[in-house]
Amino acid sequence: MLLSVSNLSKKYGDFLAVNDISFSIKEGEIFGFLGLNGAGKTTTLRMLAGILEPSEGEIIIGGHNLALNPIEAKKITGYIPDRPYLYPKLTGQEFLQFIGDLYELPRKEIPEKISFLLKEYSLTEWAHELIESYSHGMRQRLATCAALLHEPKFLIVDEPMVGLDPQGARFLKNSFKEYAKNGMGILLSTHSLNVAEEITDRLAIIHKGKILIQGTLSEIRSQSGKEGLNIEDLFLELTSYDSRSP
Amino acid sequence: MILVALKPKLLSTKNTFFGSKKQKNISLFIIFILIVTFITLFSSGFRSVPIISLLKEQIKFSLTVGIFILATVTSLIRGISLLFLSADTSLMLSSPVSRGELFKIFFVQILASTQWTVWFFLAPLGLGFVAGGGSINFILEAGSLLISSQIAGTSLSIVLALLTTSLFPVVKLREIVILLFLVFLITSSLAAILMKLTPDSLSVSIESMPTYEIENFIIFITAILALLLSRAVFIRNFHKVYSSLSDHRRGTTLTYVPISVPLIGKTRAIVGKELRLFLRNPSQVVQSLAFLVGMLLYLSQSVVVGRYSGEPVVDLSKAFIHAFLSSVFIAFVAGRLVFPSFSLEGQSIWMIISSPITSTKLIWSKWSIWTAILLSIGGIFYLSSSLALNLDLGMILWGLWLFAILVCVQVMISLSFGAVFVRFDWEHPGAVTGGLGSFFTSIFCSIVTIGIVIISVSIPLISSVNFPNKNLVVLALYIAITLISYWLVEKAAQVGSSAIEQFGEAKAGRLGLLRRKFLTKSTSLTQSKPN
Repeated sequence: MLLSVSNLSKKYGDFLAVNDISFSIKEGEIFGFLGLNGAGKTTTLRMLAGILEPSEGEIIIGGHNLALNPIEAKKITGYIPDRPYLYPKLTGQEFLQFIGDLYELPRKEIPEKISFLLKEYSLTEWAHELIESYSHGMRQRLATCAALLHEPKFLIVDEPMVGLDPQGARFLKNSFKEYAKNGMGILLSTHSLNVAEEITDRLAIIHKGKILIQGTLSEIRSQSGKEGLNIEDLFLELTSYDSRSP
Repeated sequence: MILVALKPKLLSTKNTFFGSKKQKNISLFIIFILIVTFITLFSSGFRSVPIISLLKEQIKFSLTVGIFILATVTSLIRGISLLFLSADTSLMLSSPVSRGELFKIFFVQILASTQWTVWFFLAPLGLGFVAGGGSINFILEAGSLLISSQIAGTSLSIVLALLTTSLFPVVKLREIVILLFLVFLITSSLAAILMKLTPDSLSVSIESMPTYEIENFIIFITAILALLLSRAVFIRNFHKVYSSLSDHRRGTTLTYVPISVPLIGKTRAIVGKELRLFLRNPSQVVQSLAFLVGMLLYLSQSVVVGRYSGEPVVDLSKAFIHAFLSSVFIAFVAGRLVFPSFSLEGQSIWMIISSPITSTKLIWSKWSIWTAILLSIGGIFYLSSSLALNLDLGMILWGLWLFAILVCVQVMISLSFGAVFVRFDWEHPGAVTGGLGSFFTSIFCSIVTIGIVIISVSIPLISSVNFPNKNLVVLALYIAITLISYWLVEKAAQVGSSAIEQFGEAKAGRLGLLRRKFLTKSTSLTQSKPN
């Protein structure tokens, strides 16, 4: 198992943002994390990336306990945040070089990997421009390059399609499928039902910090007893109580 | 790893300097002028001014105490910004970097980003002092005490940032704690200075005081202990405190008392917003408190220096140095507090640009409020320190006039620079207020100040000599300098106004960076183009 999350919780004072969730991801699997705004998706992903400390629970990535052996766990993890921070006064090339150094990649390999990724994500001609001149889509692509530079086994992606044009979104979806085919495990948080339906192998619906249901789409349909519903109706049905509340 | 982590900051600085030829030329010119000015001043004559040699030990002591306080306060602002508000903290936390390394990275970043200006100023000053025949031992001793103070101040700021943030995660309460801490620092440091330097003990050298022998040793040991303490506190608590703050960073707990302004129309809108932006910005408030500490320290030293009077050379030296130092001080206040005014509007600036207000009205409204604030607070400070220095009435009035015109000029230059080098895409307000732009504006204002002060010094000098039509010449000088200053204000206002008009314009080409991005963001937020 590539990722194993057990009884994970996160408390902010009295507020329980994530409530005792457990799930796992295998190599080559794309796992979707579906939920309304404020459901606890980003908090969970930030805990898995090592940014936030869980209040309770255990996270094992590639056999490494994130709390006990964070360096090893992070070395095999890539993280694409929903709003990536990219130093505005660095060029794309400089930023990727910095990430390569941060992950202690062999210095000789870094330029080659950077060129490959920049070409792959159509950023080659912008490589020596300052990041502050990049559009949102370009920043998103650069953040993806940064997350992939050290060839992670496990990729965490937070709301990848926000602000992307249809062409960019299509490219990213195809890329994720390709990476998964090559053995990478991907955890993808989204509130886009189409994305979830199209590219995830399994998914979990999180609501008010708790996983309501998880499995393949057909498993979720049968577990919930709503076999005839499409994913949108199913999702709305499962989360309907909250959407009616203020 | 420290070098790897610092590399983006260094590269960003390099790109900022060399990204635009205009910026590079301005920066290099200002640095060159500053260094030459300092070295020339301190090697050619300042050292021989009687007060400086008389008060050598007091200068060293004040420097240590002053730098320690300022190091702690500025590091505290930067510490809180870097540790908890900066987005690259999450980048570091998600990367394979150990907590020990993370501490080193943060420590060096906070120390370097807040303290380099101190060395930037003191290095040429020290060089000039030695070149003019000053003691190298004195410089070495002062230098080592300075480093120790900076290390202790930075360490303390990390502990305080963690402690206050952990105890009081609500920003408003944290500010209250910082305020209390500052009050404690001010009172204790002033008490320490006044206890050592009562009027009666002025004739006694500080070396003879029992504490002097162990003073240096205590500061060195304090620096090492503070460093170890902050490392231990950081490693044990940083991640926990950072993790507990997520909901507060969203701003849900930020509540402030509303501010009402007794004015009307557009002026009320601009002035009210300006005050709100300022008072609700922790980094601006803490900086103001730091400047207040500086003013009180200056005042306390003025009381001591004021005891030396009677000889005409000493009296004139006191008056000139006072006019010079307080004007440079105000230049730094303007650079740090007024310069960021436009940038702090952030991406919501489009609301002002698209409203029916002219750029001229906008810049003059901002000028009015800032001039009023600085004139009233600075005026009290200037008057009280002049009285403490035992200056005669003529010199006090001359100084007040000079101070007033310099405030008017410096405020408009800072606003104008702030409009020309505007930056709307800041990550957190501390990045703007503590940025290079503020620093260079302060330096530019200082250079203008030095020029006006040097010209203005001719007035009391001419007044002290008897010749026909003396009063007429003095009056003409007053009018001429006032008119030059007025011209500077007008010119700066024009430059600033035309820069404001460019705020909303998208520049063609790849390198229309800032404005294009601003336009794109505003458009996406509002579905309508600003302006």
